[in-house]
Amino acid sequence: MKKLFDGIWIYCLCLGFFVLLGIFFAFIHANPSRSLDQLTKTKSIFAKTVDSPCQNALNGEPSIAVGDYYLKVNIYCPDGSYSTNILRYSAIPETHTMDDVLSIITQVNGFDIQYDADHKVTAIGNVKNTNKRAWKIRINSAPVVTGLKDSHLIPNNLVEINYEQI
Amino acid sequence: MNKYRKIILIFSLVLILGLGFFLRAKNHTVIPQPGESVDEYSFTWVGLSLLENGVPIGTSGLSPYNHLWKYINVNGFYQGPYTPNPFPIDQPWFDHPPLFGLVTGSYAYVRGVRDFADTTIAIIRKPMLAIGVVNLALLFLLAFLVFDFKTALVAGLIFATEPLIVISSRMAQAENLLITFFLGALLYFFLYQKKNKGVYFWLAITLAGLATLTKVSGWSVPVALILLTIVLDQKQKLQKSFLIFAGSLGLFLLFPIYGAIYDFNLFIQLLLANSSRVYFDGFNIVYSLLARQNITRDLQSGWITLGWISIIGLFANNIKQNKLWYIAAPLLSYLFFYMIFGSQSYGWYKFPFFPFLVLAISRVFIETLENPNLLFNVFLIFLPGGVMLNRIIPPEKFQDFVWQFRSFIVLTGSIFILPFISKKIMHKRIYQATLVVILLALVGLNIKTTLMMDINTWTHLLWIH
Repeated sequence: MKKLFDGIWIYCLCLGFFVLLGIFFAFIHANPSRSLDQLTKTKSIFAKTVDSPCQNALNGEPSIAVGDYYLKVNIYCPDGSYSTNILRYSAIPETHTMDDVLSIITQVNGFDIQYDADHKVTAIGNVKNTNKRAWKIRINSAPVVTGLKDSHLIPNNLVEINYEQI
Repeated sequence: MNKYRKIILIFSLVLILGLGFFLRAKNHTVIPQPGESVDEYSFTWVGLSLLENGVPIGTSGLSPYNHLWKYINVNGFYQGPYTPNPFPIDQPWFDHPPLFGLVTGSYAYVRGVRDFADTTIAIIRKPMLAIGVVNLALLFLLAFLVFDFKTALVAGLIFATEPLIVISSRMAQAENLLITFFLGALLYFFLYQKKNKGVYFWLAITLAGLATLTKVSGWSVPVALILLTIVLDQKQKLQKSFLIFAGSLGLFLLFPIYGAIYDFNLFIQLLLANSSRVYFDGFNIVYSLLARQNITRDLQSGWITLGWISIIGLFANNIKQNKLWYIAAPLLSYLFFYMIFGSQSYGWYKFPFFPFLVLAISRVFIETLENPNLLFNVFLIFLPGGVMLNRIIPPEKFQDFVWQFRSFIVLTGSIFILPFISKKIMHKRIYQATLVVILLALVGLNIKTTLMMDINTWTHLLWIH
């Protein structure tokens, strides 16, 4: 029987390693290097940026669960192409502003968006505002006038982003 | 073993490992396609979040979690053919023990990955290539130690090249690490039985315990060791069995303790939720196991079916051969857990059967060389060979080859029947040489089929949603 226990130190070493690993995790838990929001950011550093905001779409039929809702975000580009997107309402940060929605759509579909000093959109993808035409955002057909950070969305809103004449 | 034999052994092992690595590495970032199984990401996220946040965070479909919905565009997920819905992000994540996640998560961390969106398939499948080659080496060594060099060579060649096994081993799924611990534990247990050194016994127990920390179905490893102890050991059966159980439990208990530290109530709820998952195949479970091979898509493999047939054949004749229990015990043990936990539509629950099925084929093949077995020879050619040739030459083009096919049947049939009608040693040699050539041709077909699995071929296979 004694011979059976000859190599038990290997097992103890392994057990000890995991106990130490647990203590290490407890330390990390107390001093995290990244928060949940940082870990779960949408865009990958490996993601390629596309020129047209209409190149990709987050579409499909939403499987609407009880108690959950979606937003529709349609982008219409000057060349006639469009991107129809359906966003799960609960996946938008708690403030549920137009700014949050644009942030997710740009990251998921991989295009850039530019703002001026007043945080108004000056370019989406490679399509910039000009003297004659500019990007306009409407929520349920009503233009956004209060600013992107102040425009709150509610479930099942329809957002339309159009490049149109001023 | 003399020096000459040692050189041949090492040379064969290196050659097989090289071939196995090449086939696993080729197209490993595209087949199976990124996003076909979100489990691959989830395991890595759990490891990564433990290292950076101290809390296991992953994605799960189970209801006890209070899901946090997040769009994480890893590998351009939302530009692929998958659900446009966000990931349900869950913390603390208790779907499975965290050991496997720590392997892929640690590797991703070392490679500079800090966020979930950056855990691309190209990164998280890299450690799988290493694990795949280690599994191949372990199977070769187990076959060599328990049986002989010929069995090891055949098992190594099949395991290195078989398309389903090659593609399976690329996936960041816990079952692939479970295979490592399974084979490692059996190897050390065999060494313990041969040399009676306690160090091997505890190495086997440690690996069995680690298997339980990889997935709960990893309990199949200690159960296999207990089965081997009961069947093969002459003395101290009870004491040894108790030590195997207690040792494995000692490591496994770290999982509930870890659950209790984070949220014991949620841990228990998830345990219950996991146990009430849909039992996908129902009463068909064993039939599906034998008849259907799949990963994320259906990928029929004649080798796997041949493996099950070989097992039956092997044990019908040789059940008294002790060493065959090194195939039977792990298979029976894993089958028990597979049936208890319930099958799923996807294929990774079946991965741990593969090395033992390959071992069974190899053993029967070697025995068939000495004692001709007509039926096995027919199955050997037309199960793996037939399925793979059908993939290369589609049935609609088969008509062009029908006469070659008939001639081949007549020719090989004549050769295979030789040892039954003639006792001449020359005729036996012709039979053996033909069988070896057929095996090599099948290995060649394996390589050809694996290499032709590009995106185009892969996406034509039936996808299991």
